[in-house]
Amino acid sequence: MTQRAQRRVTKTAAMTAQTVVDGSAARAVRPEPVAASELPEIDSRQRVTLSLVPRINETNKRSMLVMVIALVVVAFSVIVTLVLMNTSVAQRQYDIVSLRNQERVLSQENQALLKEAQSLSAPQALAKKAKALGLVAPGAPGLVDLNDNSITKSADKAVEVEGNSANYATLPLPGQSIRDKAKADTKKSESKAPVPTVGNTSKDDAKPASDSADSKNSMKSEVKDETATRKVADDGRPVFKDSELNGGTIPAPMIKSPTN
Amino acid sequence: MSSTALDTAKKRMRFLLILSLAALLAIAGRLFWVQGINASTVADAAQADRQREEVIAPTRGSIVDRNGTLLAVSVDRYDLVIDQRDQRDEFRRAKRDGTNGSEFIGWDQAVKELAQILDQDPAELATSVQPQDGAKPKGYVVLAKGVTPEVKNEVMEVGIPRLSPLLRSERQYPQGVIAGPLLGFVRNSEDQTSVVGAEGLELSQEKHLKGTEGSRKIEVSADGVRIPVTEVEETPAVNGQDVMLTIDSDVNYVAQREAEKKQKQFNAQWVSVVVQEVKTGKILAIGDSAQLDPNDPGATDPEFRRSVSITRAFEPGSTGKAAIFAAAIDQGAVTPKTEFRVPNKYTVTKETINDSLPHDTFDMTAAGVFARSYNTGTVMVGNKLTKKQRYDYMRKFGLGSPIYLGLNGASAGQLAKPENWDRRQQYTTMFGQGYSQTVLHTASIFQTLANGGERIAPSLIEGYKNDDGSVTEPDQSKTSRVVKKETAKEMLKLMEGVVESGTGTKMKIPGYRVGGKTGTGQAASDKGYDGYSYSFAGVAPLDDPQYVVVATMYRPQGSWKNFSVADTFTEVMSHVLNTYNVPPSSTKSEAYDVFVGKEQKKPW
Repeated sequence: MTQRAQRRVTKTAAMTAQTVVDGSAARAVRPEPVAASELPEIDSRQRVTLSLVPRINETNKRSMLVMVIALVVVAFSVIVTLVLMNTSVAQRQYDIVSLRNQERVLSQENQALLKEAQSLSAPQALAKKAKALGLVAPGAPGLVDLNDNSITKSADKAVEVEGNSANYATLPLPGQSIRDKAKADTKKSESKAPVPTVGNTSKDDAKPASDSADSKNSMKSEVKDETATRKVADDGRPVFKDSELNGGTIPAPMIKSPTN
Repeated sequence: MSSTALDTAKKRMRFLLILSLAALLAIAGRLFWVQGINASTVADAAQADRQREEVIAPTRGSIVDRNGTLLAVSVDRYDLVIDQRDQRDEFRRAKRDGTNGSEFIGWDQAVKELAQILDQDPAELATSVQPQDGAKPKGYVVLAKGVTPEVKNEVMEVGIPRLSPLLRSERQYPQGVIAGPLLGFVRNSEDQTSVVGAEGLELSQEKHLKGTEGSRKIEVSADGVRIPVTEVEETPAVNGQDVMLTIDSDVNYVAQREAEKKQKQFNAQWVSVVVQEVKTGKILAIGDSAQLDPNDPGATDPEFRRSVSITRAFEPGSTGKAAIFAAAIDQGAVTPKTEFRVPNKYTVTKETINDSLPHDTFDMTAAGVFARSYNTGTVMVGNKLTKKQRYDYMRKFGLGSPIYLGLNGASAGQLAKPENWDRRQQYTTMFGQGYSQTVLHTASIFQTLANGGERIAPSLIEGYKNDDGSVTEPDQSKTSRVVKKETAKEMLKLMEGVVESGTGTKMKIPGYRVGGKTGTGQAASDKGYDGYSYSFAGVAPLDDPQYVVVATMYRPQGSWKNFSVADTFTEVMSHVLNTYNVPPSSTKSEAYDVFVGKEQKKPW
């Protein structure tokens, strides 16, 4: 930088060294030929006439304005389009999510209704309803031989529910717990058999009495019986029945739930 | 400004210039590294940071019967979970009475509403909703499990902040106890979000029912909200196949009802009814007296959570004579008309064979021996074959090997090799003692005889329905010829004799020709033979056998004179014949004479 400044300084010196007066006579001022590379930047004597920038005519002006407006509009519309597209895509995503939710809700509703329909049309539910309506199971159908138009067998009469062999509505309904049913049955059988087998010390005596009790009930009572009356001998060993020992000294393990 | 000050300023400027150039270069270099050389790695890292992968759980396939009735289905349920942290004393929610606007409610009110919806004790519920006695609030407290979508929606209306429903799948059995032990039941998967089979068909068909998990890749921003415009990579889940059974739920209901009724009537240990199609070997119904509701398997005795028809082997008694007679006729050792002099007691190789009721010595046909089910006569017939021959036939009929229906715990029964039969066993095996089998084995033997001597392995699965509605057939059932066609035909006539004039006269069904064989077997325990099993295996209609029904009652109690499964058989069989519109028989009975000579009515 300093170097360049130096050079400019010398240049100016060379120019100022050119004298205007030659002795007494004024020199015809004619610029010394200067190397093109060293052409001074400004010639104060011969200036180029300044002139205004040529006027833009009206049409040009208008087209320029249109152009600018168009550009602005384009730019603006691009932005708007982008924003709109973005929002619409985002909106679609929300739509998809909400439709998915709607689908789920509907399918859940469908599931619930289907399940209800299936449960209502379950055979045991139908049987119960039929019984409530007073319907009875049909007797054997009658038969007609189409070859000779003879009745080969006349139909049996349907019998009243009480006397009918097909006692409907014995199985638990869908949704009705087996536990409840078992409880109800136990109550029923208890009321029928006033002498319960539970608590009887001799199991063999109780056997005929369990006739009316349902087998599950009597089995359970037997189990209870065993645990309740398991005696402990003097040596601290529990006393087992002969049938449990089956000739051995300790009872065989009971298989409760067979697995693979 | 002095020249030294100017110099210092220049120097500083130069230093700063170099410094900023260096910084610029470093940044440019880094930019070039990130954007040019290492671009993909960085992009991947960013992607990985944004991306979340969700698992799409497949829906477990349904189990349907042959008519498309739903037996097992998966439904959506919700677990309600609350985050106790950062909760205020009051919260704002939309008014619940349908009017616009919102209201502020406190926790007492919220818990009260919640308790009412969930049908829980408010005091108890309050302890899980809010931390108690200054305890540290928990981030995850389960308020209720497996609530229905309606309950969930109602709970969400209460508007408790940070209470969220978690979706999970639950298994339901809309028909309740129908075919319960066959369907089995499910248990929760390890992660508690779905269910897996635990027993029965649910277990054995797991790979069909389960389906394949799908996945969804989405991009989320730093605050965890999904970026909407990003690409979603989704592998859809493949739902499990629906398993179609050969079971008819209506017939199964009748079978179950009759079994339960019979069990109650005689206080038997169990009663089982099996219905099988003759021409296809398909199982139409398996009814057990003990009911299992797969919605609540715990309510049933562990012993009866599987079908006794396939798990319990017992000595069949006289129904086992069918195999021996078929073998003897097949080998040409006897014909149905071969005559025998049948006494009440028959002693062979020092073993005395008795008949259950004392009777006079009769001159009978082989068919008559079968009809009246005399053990003595049966031993005479069976003795025409070697032990090996009889054993081979029994094996061919399927005895001694388990019948796999897709239910675990199938019993093979016990059938000792003939060289291991003791002196008495070689005779007892002729009339159904000294070996054991399941009810299903009996059904299979009679299916074989009714199907012209060709055994079709029993099957329970009709096919697998894919998500697109197409059906995949299961492996073909194995078929094998056991006896000649003529033999099977003769056996049907023998069976008809049982119902016409033998031990099974109560098994008649009006309009149809029915054949079968009764069976009374002694049931053994560790104390010896101390019980009985009663069964009847029947085929109808005899002019074109369609269905086999086997009714078995194990260890009934009470007066033995009344023990009978006749009504069970007729009720189920006539229901099946009616349901499937089987035309009544139009041909005459082909039963053989029971006794030699004209006189056929002789005392028992």
